[in-house]
Amino acid sequence: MRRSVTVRVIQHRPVLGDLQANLADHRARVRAAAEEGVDLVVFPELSLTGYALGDLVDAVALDPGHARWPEVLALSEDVDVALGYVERGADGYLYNAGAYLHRGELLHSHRKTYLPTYGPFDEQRFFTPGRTIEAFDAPWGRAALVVCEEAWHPAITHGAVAQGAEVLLTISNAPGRGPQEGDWASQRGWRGILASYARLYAVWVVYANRVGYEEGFVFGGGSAVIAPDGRELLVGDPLEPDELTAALDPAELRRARIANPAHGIERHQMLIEALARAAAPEARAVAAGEREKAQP
Amino acid sequence: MTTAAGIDKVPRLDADLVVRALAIALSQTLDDAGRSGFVMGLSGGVDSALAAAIALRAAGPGAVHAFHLPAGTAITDSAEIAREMADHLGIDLKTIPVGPLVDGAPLATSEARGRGNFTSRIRMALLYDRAAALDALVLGTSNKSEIALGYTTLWGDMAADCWPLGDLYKTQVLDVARSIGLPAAVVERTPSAELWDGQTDEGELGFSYSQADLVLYAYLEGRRRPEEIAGSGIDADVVERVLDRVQRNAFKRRLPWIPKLTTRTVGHDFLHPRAWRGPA
Repeated sequence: MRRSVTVRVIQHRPVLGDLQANLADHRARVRAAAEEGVDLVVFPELSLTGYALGDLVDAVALDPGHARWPEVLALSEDVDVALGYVERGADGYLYNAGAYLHRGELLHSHRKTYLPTYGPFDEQRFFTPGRTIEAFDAPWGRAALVVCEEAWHPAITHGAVAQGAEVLLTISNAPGRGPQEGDWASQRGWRGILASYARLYAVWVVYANRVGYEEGFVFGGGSAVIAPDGRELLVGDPLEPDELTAALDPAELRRARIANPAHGIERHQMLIEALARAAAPEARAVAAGEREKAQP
Repeated sequence: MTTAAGIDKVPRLDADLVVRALAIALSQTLDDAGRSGFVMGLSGGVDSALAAAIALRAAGPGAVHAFHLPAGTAITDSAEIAREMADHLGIDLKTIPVGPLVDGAPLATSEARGRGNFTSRIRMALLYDRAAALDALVLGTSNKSEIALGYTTLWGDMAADCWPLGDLYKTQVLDVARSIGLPAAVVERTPSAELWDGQTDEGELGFSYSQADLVLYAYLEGRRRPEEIAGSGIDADVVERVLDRVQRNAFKRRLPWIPKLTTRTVGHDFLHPRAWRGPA
């Protein structure tokens, strides 16, 4: 990290399908954050649109030609902004995307690669999956956007950190499940996973989840800021809108990486070779339980 | 919380978190629908009592309109308990006897079940009438046990705009109701739809809710096979009868089907949220 960055997580309750209302909410929160000396405001996944869009995805999709796109970019005139939106790609397909905005420009956009389509989720019916995970240079250090389900695929985090990410901006729309002992069991599980990433990779994890109710989902809040040694510094309410503000200090990252240098000696080539073997047709057949077919 | 043979018990939920979450859901549902309150049946039982308490939290006392809809001729303490409950919560309660309406209807059968189903539908018809007059939504009070077992009347007690208790087993409803301090008279009552004199849920089902919930939880959340559940020490006959009801009443848990004939069909690939705002 080049310098300390003061981050504010916005645990909000967007209005489903209403870009105008959500843009107004983003503007108000960004303005307040700028006045209070915050450097970066992080909103949850699909923060401009809400989650349970169904066939509304097309109606709320944004591209550089959209009448409201300049308003989105303008959010970041005084403070950096990470947010979630529906991207209409130049290819005409719709993506669940995260954006990092800096001084009125789109610095980085990430298309969610793993779209949960199981249990109560139906994302791949409405979105096209992204194909890449890339770390990027923010003004204060190297970061990666991780969108919800991607946190449940450790390879995404591994790939981002291998490209130098020091801060994981994890944005989600996780519904609460298991209301037990003062919190959602599901959100306890989420933070457990994120704290493990923070500790294993010695990275800052900024986690922005939403609250509110849409179409049978009660979103579980529990946003968090997790230090590079795995400590939960701040945790949001399980149901109500909340804001978490914390300074991410490069010194903490330095100390954590000295204490736990494990990721620094990662052998990427070894992993590439293992993955190449796993991806070979015969290995895939074996993994799928078709050992006999795979034998010549 | 695992029994000797490895079937998990129905978990204890955090009552405060449950009530807060469901109040948020109800409050958002009102906003989405643009309505000003809830209409509901207040029977004197625990389901409607808990639903009323949550609706009150979501919408405020002036916005919950409760109706007691007695059908039977036997003297029960339901009316008194419904009144105690309404006073406890500070909500409005009116009584509309449905017995005369059912008695006056040219029904095809005088058999108890047919008459009971008609009674259940008359109750909901009255609630929808009141909801239109009061600019309100109809609050359903079905719980997860009833819905899973299909121990319900299609378009009767199931007819509602939302089911806030639909993911709580009956034993969890009882536990949450007790935890938030609802009157003992409500929590300790014998469950009954009171569609005919002497009817009780557990008498009619032939097993208790605590037995049923153990089986349902193992089957639904635990994804256990029926033989595993029966092998865990639960009466095999109860396991069979519970799961038979779940299977037999699958149709009650779905909206009527539409055979797909065109390229875009309601329910198949014309899918919008209930709260459809902004551009089309």
